Amino acid sequence: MANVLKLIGLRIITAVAIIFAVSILIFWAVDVLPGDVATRVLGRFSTEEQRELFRERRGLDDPVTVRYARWLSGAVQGDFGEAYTTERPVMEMVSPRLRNTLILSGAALLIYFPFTILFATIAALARGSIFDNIVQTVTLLGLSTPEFVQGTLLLVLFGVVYPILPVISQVDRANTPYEFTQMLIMPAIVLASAMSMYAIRMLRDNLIEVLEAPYVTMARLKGLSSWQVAFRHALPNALLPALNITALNLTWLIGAAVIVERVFAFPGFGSLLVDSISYRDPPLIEATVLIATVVYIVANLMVDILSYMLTPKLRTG
Amino acid sequence: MKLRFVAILVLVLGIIVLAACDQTAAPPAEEEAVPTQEEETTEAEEEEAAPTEEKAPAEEEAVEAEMRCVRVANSDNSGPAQTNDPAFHVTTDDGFRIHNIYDRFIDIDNNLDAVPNLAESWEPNDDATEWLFYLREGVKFSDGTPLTAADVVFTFKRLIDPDVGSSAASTLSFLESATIESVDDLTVRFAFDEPVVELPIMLTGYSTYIVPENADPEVLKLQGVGTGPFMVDEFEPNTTYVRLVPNPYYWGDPPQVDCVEQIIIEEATTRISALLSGEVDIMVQLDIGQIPMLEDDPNIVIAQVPGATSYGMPMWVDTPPFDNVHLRNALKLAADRQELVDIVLLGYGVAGIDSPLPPTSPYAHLSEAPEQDIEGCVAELELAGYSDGVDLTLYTSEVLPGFVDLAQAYAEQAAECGIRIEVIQAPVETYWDEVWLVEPWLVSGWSALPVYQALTIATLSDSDWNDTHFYREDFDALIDQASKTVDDDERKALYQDASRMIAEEGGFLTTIFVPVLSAYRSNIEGFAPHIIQSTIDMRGVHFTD
Repeated sequence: MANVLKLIGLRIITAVAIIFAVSILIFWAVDVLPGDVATRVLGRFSTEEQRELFRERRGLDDPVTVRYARWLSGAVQGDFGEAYTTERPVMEMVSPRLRNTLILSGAALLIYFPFTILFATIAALARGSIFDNIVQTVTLLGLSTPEFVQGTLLLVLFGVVYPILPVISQVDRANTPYEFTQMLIMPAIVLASAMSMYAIRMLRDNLIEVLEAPYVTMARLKGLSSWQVAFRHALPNALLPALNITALNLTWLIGAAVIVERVFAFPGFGSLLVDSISYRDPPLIEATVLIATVVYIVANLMVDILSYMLTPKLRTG
Repeated sequence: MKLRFVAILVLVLGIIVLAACDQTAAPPAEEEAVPTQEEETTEAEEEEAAPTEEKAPAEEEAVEAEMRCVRVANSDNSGPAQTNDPAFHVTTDDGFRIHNIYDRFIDIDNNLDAVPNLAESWEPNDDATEWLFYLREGVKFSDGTPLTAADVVFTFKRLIDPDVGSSAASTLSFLESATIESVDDLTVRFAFDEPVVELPIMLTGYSTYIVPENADPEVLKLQGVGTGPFMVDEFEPNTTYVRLVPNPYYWGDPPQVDCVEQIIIEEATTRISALLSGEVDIMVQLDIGQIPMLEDDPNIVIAQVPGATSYGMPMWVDTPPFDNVHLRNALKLAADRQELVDIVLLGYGVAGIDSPLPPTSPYAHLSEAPEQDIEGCVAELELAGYSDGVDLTLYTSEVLPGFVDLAQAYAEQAAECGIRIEVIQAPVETYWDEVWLVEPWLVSGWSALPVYQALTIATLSDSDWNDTHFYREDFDALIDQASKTVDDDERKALYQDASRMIAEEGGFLTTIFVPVLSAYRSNIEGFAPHIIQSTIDMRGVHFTD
């Protein structure tokens, strides 16, 4: 057990170090963006005095290292300063969007986990059957269909043709938790389905491999049913690579889900990230990119910790 | 065997669940789902914020459930630059809110003429170097303070102030040398060194909404303090949802709805789907291509304001072969304009009259477009010396929707007369830089402008944008005369002469006018689009059910 704790501790320290390194990279990258920040924000019609004032107020004439230190010390406390375009605190702009995306991600994961495990398991157990073939084909189709298309089809089907769900997932408009949840359903399904297409295939393949292993045959000979074999012995071993895929998917959820956000008009974090770059607002870019990075690193960290805990070799060694 | 059975069972159950997914079945399952999400996600601390946020609105639920808002879908998004300050408004989403929170000093109608609003009436002196504007009485801002002339003076001075940095400063630059002052509480005076015959229309535009004297810019940006029918309920920049509620101090007829919701939906399919499903009531920016999806639905009404943007094929009248007036006449006669409206605009538009003005304008020299006349075209071609027909090159690009269709459809029409046109499609990104004002014949367009600007922006000898090389001293003199004519009827006649001169002797081949289009549900009344697309007026809008 001590072995595992040591590994986990090392892993956490590495993660923190990576976060620091990335923060430097982000800050520097935003800093070298071409063009003058003051002119960009204040517009073409601004005077040189106004721009000077703008730079002074924000300490833009200080050296890069000073500005970085100032930013970082605020960032670790959760204060990312004020956005240049809106002059509102960055966190005020970020928190509601982040909260929305986290809830949506949660809903997507809620669908994704059981869906993936169920279909991968059945496909592996019923390998070669019609069901397995259907799963293989459907996941291949799903992989090939962009989220934009899936989302639009779903939206038109269940929003217009058979109107059972709201078309717009603008959750700020929801007056009740029920309305809020309704708005989550379609975007969550699209996100979940996009993630699970890869995961089902991978998990199914891993399961099949595991099911051929001697200890599985042994379990069967002992008299355990197929289900018991699958869930108690095969699945935990096959789960590891699938968890890695899930970690990758989680980052995708936060950032690349901007397409889903756009189709369903969902006010999420991905759109904020993209908007901050279109509007070239440095504090906003720095904050959103850093947060997205932290989520990715933390997700990977948790997956690694989980896989350490799930690896029997490490536990007993 | 057992496995297959289970697999099939799962599939069947899945299908049943999907099919039975109606409102009554969903709630219990979904309500349970919400708290359990917290266990599944990796960021546990953020999740704790979620249930409380969802419960807070529930308290207001009782009140909000009673309110019935008109829901308006916008397509443009100013993003973090969103503001409710008229001096800084970026695009239509800002324009929508600003137009309903504030009032313009002078309003503008669908003919792009000045009409009274906060300024109830006005009069120039004899040579139009001085104007007096009389304000409406009893108008109040949303904070209860009364409107006075000082507010008007402050508003205009603010718009041209370089320290404020408004984007309106350039269009209002003619005010820099003017005297703007209040004569009394309800009278404003504008004085100039030169005559300014059309001051009222020049004083109206995207930004000329009246704000209170010495208003705090921060308050204007976030809340907006105006004399208009609505107020902003809650606003944070970079939002896609804003609710407007009635202004208790509004001087006009009170709004007939409880509230207005602005919902920005950037994705076109989503926007239309929302209108079709009844989730939004009004969709303000409709493209021609979207019309077929909405036309046949009995619950949707398509509204248009004609004559907004002109599509034409300007040619250089000083360059062969276009310098031959008979060839130009032939090209004009070859056009079946109504057919072009039907092909390019699916019937939603008005045929043009080879002038910058649409036939619907009171200043146009014709009220109906001429018909195609192939015989006349052939005769003109002979007079021009092309009895065997002529080969010409026409440039186009998809910079505006329909430009390419227009070129191709026109080329087919002209072929009937013996005019052989080679259509060259140029790239979109460089069209305005490398084709317009560079090639002698191309497809081009102009958006709706008040009459003086429309007749001068491309036709004065010293205009930077003279895309027909129309250098005519007599035309310049005509316009100059009009700009000094104080009498409205006399001036109108001069404008008509100018329009006629351009049409008969110029190189404008203005074939079609694109309308401003909106769509709304059939249970809405009192809504109409405006020729200035960002003027989306909610006064008088109400539900009929």
